[in-house]
Amino acid sequence: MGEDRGTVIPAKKSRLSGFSRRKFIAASGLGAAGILSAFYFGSITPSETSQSQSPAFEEVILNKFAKSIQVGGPGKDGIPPIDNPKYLAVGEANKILTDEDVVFGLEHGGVVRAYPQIVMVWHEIVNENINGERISITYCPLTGSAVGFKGLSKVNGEPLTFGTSGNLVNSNLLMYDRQSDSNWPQILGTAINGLNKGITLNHLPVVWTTWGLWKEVHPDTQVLSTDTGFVKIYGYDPYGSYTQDPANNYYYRNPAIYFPVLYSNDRFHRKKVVTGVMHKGSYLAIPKGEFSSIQVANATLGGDPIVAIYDGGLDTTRVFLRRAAGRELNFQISGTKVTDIETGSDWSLKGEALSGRLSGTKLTAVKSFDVMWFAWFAFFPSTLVYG
Amino acid sequence: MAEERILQATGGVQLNEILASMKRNLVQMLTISKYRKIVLIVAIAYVVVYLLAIQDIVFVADRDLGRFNAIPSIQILENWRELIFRPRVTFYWEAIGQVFLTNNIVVQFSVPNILLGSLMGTLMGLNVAVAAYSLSCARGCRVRPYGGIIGALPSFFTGFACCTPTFVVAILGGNVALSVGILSVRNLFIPIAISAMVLALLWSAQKMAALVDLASRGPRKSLA
Repeated sequence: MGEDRGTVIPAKKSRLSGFSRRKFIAASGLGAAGILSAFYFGSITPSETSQSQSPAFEEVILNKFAKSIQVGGPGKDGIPPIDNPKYLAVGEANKILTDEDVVFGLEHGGVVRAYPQIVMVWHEIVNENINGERISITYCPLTGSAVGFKGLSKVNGEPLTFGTSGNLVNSNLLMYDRQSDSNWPQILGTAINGLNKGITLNHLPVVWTTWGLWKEVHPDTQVLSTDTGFVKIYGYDPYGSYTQDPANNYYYRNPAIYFPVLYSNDRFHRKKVVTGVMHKGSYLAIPKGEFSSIQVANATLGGDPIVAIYDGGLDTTRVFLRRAAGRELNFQISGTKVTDIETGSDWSLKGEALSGRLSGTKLTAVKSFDVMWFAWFAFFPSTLVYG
Repeated sequence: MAEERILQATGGVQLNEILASMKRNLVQMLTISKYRKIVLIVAIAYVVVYLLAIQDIVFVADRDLGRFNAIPSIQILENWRELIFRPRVTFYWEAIGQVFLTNNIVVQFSVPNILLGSLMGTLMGLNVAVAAYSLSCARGCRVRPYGGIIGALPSFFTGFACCTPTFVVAILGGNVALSVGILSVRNLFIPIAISAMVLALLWSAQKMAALVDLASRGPRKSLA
């Protein structure tokens, strides 16, 4: 990151010359290490996805995504979702997973679960029922994105459950809901056609980490079983591997993408993992590798103050609104200790005040998830980039 | 009118006579053990290559499948009746069982996939056997099996690993334009392959019928 550390800039500076920087916002008075020194709110194209909130304009954008639907190969539910997931305890999971295997971790409603990537790659969606609440854990191998969702159908108010349409938008999994057959690109999380068109799902934080890290933090976790009701070659990933010899990473590290995208940008390697943050129609990409050494960044997104905090225990980044008890906070980190400058309160990496004046306060999470750069940019060409 | 045209085109021989002659000679060929073996061997080889192409037979070089399954072992789904005809995509169905032969080799069982592969393998075998059968005839009358073999090629482009067809990953190396173009006509691959092999077989069998007929008028020559 070098000299650029601590700044948020548009994805491609060179195209900014023709674009007004009227929306420049300075992140003021942030002196602590890793805190953003400046924040530009701009875009490389007329910002179709982030600058207009009008229903008519959103309609245009959704129609544009709908027109870009691409046949991916398999038929509807040809990649079969898991509707009756079963779980293993850590001891059993240790027999099939190595510490380096990628898992998607979920903490929700007092339940802690890990979804191994080498199982999810064959199903892409798990429709869950946690304490009576319907949620879906989704994974798209082509865009390297794992996202949890919950939502209600506007057709009948029923909780939504999802299947795989077999189609793609921007190379990203296009889900369909079983209540109205509307289509939802996973990264967008908004229906682009059908009776639920325009509805945006609620995000559930899903952590992209490794089995070794997850089980250390959550020794009582449950793990998605390979007993899925389908015959699949679990342990084998048709796209390559996140953990093995680079020669076998013929998709995850290879710059080739198989399907067309609406927008592309060469600021990073196409498959570079960024933490994508979305808030009030504004978008931010935080390069994952670089942020592990920065650890905390205070910024403004969509007009609201946010903070990104790196959790080294799980090698993940969490993003919160940095506002509590009616005041805006600025965070700094020392070792593993996160403190707000204004009150000196100590905070956990999950955004909970552990001690100090704000003890017991919990920050509000902002939608964020890990995703490959090419896919994030394809959906949100006006994205800002931390770096 | 149509019958007249056929009679003209065939020198006055009825179409049903040609078909009957073709059938008779194919059956006659199959009474000979050597050609039955050719059909069988080619069909089996084709099925193996087809199952490899659609990833129902998989070699896993970089993972130890023994961590997930006993080696060797056989898995058959309890709910196989629900899934036996469940398509993943047109002309490609879910597996209902699998055999882990070694830590790195697994064979999946999908009844429709095996039946379809066997049908195409048999057609391929017949094409090759007819070509071999004709080799025992005069050089000018020999039938070459290229049509049948080339016709089979599209059938190898049908398997889907996940979101992406196997051939896109393995052969096209992620060429967006090619993969999108081929995907748009992908559903035609199997009908094209079967049609090409049937037509090639009919053409070869007709030619074989003609030369056998010719041979029967002159000094007889053993075809075995």
